[in-house]
Amino acid sequence: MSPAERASWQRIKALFESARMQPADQRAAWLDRACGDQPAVRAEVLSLLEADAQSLPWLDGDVVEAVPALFAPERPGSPHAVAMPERVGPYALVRELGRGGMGTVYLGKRADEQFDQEVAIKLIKRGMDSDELVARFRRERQILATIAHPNISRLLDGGMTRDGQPYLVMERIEGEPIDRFCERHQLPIARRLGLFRSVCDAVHHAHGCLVVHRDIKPGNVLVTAEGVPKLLDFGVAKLLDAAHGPARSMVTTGAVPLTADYASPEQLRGDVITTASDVYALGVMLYELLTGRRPHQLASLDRRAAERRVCETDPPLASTVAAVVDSGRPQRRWRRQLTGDLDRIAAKALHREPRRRYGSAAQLSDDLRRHLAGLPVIARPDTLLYQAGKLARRHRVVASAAVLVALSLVMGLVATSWQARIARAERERAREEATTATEVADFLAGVLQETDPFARQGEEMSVPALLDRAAVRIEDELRGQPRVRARVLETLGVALGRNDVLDHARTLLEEALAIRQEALGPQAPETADSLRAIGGLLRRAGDLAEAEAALRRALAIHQARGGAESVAAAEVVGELASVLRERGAFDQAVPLARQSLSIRRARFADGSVEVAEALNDLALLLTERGDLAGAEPLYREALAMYRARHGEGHPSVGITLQNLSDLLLKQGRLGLAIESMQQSLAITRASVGDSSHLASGLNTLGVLLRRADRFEEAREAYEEALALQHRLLGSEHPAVATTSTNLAVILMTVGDLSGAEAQLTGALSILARQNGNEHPARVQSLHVLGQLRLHQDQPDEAVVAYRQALMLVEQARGREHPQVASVLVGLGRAQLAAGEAPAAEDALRRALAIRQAALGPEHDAVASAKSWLGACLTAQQRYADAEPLLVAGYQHLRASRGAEHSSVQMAWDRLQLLYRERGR
Amino acid sequence: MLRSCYRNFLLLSDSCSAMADDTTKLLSAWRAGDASALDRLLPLVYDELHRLARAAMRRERRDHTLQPTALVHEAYVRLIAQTRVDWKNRAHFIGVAAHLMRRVTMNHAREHGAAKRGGGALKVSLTAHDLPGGSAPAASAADDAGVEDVLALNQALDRLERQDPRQARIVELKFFGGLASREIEEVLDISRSTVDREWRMARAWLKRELL
Repeated sequence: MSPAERASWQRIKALFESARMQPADQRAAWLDRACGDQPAVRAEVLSLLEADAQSLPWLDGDVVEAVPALFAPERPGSPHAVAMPERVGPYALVRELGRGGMGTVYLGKRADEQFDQEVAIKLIKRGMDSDELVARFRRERQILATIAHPNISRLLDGGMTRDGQPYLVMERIEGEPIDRFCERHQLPIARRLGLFRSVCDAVHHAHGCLVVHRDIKPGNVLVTAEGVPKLLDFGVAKLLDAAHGPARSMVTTGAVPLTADYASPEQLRGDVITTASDVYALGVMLYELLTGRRPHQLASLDRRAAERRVCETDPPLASTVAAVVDSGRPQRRWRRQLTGDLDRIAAKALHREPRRRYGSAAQLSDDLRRHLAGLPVIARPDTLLYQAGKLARRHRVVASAAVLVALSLVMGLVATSWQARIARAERERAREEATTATEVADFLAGVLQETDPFARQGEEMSVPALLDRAAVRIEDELRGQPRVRARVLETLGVALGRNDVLDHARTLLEEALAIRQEALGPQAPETADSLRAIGGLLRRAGDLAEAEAALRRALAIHQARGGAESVAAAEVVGELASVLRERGAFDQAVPLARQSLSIRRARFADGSVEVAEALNDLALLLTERGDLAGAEPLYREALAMYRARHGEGHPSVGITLQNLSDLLLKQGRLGLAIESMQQSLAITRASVGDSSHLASGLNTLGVLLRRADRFEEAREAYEEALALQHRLLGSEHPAVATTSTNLAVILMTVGDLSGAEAQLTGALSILARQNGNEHPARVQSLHVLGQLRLHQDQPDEAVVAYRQALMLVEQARGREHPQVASVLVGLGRAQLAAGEAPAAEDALRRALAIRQAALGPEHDAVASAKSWLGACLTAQQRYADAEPLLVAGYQHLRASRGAEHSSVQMAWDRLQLLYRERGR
Repeated sequence: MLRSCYRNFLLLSDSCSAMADDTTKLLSAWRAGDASALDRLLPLVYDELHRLARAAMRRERRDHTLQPTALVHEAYVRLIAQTRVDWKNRAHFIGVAAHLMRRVTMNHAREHGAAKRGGGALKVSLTAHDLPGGSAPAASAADDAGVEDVLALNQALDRLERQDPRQARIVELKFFGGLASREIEEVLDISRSTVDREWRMARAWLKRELL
């Protein structure tokens, strides 16, 4: 536009504006006066005024309102769901190459003919482009761009098609799967190993880029005409970000395509997947290249049977099954070449326990190189207690008190489990167990004698020293008695686990498991006991996925033996319920906890500890689910049983009192809750001392003290708890996240906002790494984050955090849980602060309804919701509706919390605001 | 308007936070005067909006019908790292996003028109079955526009932009971005009365072009 045109346009605008102000019948005359010398301007303004009077309603809405048909939901099978698109980005598609779980692969060509290159184009499946999958696709694109290796097919390009379908463009590899290549050329062992080592190097390179392949199989390794192996299809690769911990299998329902033949036990179980899983798959491929067979014959098995086979049995040695015939060499000779080193190398790569495999693909490759060069290889059969000793030496000093506690627990444990077996009335096994228990007790008595300071000449016995000594004695005295040996290891392991010496404990328990599997068989009840002990330990260590897997294996053994109603099965079921509770799978956990309780009620005498335990566990679960009324009588019953049995000062009484206190808090009975908690902590300090139990108790006490506005004491309690948890459980434990979140609340309350933010950030990242983003514990942290954002005067951010919390809590606990109401109150407050009073009103009305239904009309929380709802109505100038709510809320809160309580003050302020606003 | 957009917020998931970092940086760089940052920003936002629009269209439930303002804000939540962005950034972003919404919508309209010409039966099945209860938005209904009408509006808007960029921008924010006048004030940093005055004039100008 020229300056003249611009000036004229400005004039037109001004005239239009002024003319519009004139009465309609006088506009023409007005315009004549205003621009008599400029007929073109006059005509323009007049035509605009005429158009202004015309009706074109759709222009006043937005585009969707204007043309709804354009945005109507698509029907499945609409013409958009076509088979092969003609082109994708700058590529013309030639034909389909194959289909996978995530999409279809096409042969493509650069359409602009700038250079003649054939590519493989992977297009995500239509109808599968959920947010999650699209996010994964993006991630894959970013990861792959960082990998450049001669034995890995390159990512060339990637993007979105015009209708939003993501695609990847890969280097097109023409070749033959590595297994077929070896067979067709009848390659000798050394050549096979050479090719295989190139694959190992490629995998190692990818691991260095923090990528786990997860789907390594011969079909994904093509050997080109030049004899170069190329690794394809990182279709399920996930970023192994150091900041996010080991990658987790996101989906166990089959959305992640896996070939069971090459999947590791942890992959089949849906556990944590790390680089060790790729090492396992390489092991399968190695085995196959060496023998012509896969280690496990899974073809005829269904998925579950296949999983059991892979997870619970070792494959036969490669040398015993090799069916490969080298040209000119008989099978016998081929097999002889495998015996020894290669058997062991393959077995180590295929070890069922990820941490006993090669530490990396490069290590595997190196061992093969050593074998080819005639050097000794590092792969050896596992040796008993070898690893326990190594681990033990890392912890030099542990007070002898801990050892004594450990051992006394061991003795107690032997006695109780012996009784349990009798009660089970499995006579044959009970007799064996009785013998074993006696021998175990004798053996441990011998070890215990050595911890006598006089016998040891005043030297304190540390846990490592104890383990070393026990290891020697086990070797010497229990040779040829695998049952007793395993039992000693198990009892020691369980005792150490209870004393938070977790890594030692795990080694011992796994050793016991290995002995039992070998001596008694993988389906023996003792093997199930070992798995249960390991499951319990892993739960304490916070490794919930692995815990669940171990317990399910144990349960499967009991079920296979027809012992689903046995006491041992009840123990497994109860422990599994606890794991599921901690994972947030409440709906799965409740029936299991009830099952465990009913088995125990049937099998044990009234008032026995076993029943009390099950009562406590079920009550815990019901509390978590919000069934507070159902939980309380269970706790009271358990408490009476423990007191009758053990007396007031026993740890079990303390633990139950703590749980009860938590329940009382949730019921809003603050005074009783504090009392109960203080009793509990006194017992714990006196009987157990420093422990994760004490930490969890301190954490709970902190919550109560905060509610009572005793902030400094609360802060001290949290800080003590946090220090204990860091020391005993490690800094990655979910319990640390919980305590940090609580500490954040206090810091926020006393005005240390940056301190609070730091604690919350830490908590959220621990939870993300430990449990994935969906874990309900995250709700709490997000909830507090919402509060913090409100404190920081960022209501919009607060709304975002609360909404996220709301989604998670509704997923985990349904729409009617009291915790949903808490989040809704937070959301309402945030929306109110963000100036969205009507939305806030919706949230707060819902919160009020939930609280009235779940907690009864007399509960504090109901009063608080009323008060906030009132504030919300004030903001909408609905004063008459607001006043009764604000008054009732304030009066009720003051009656139950006292006039000085901060929440009462705030309720008062809200009421005052109403009066001020109405007065205007 | 804000209220309804919050209803439609999808939540920021960790999986897109890396991307959120990128877009946040680009947005800041652009605001700080780095013009090339906008070039890199646009495709990211465009991709995201397009994807969101497709997803919204695929939603089966009636209460999830697509709202431009929801999409624009949703893109914002997804693409921008919430912790490190100020309120001004948000206004800028929403301005960019509304422009891109226009492009997304118009691409879609062109495809839609093409599909319609390709197979005459489609339109019936879309409207008659998907929107029961007699409220089927047939293109012939008096208050509704047809696909061709919006395409025509789009072209008219291109012409208006040469004449008066600010007016075109207001139309874009309002019609394609679904923003309320109050939000337009924020995005363009002009007074409410200016928004209303310019809109009135732009609307008249467009009506003249379209009727």
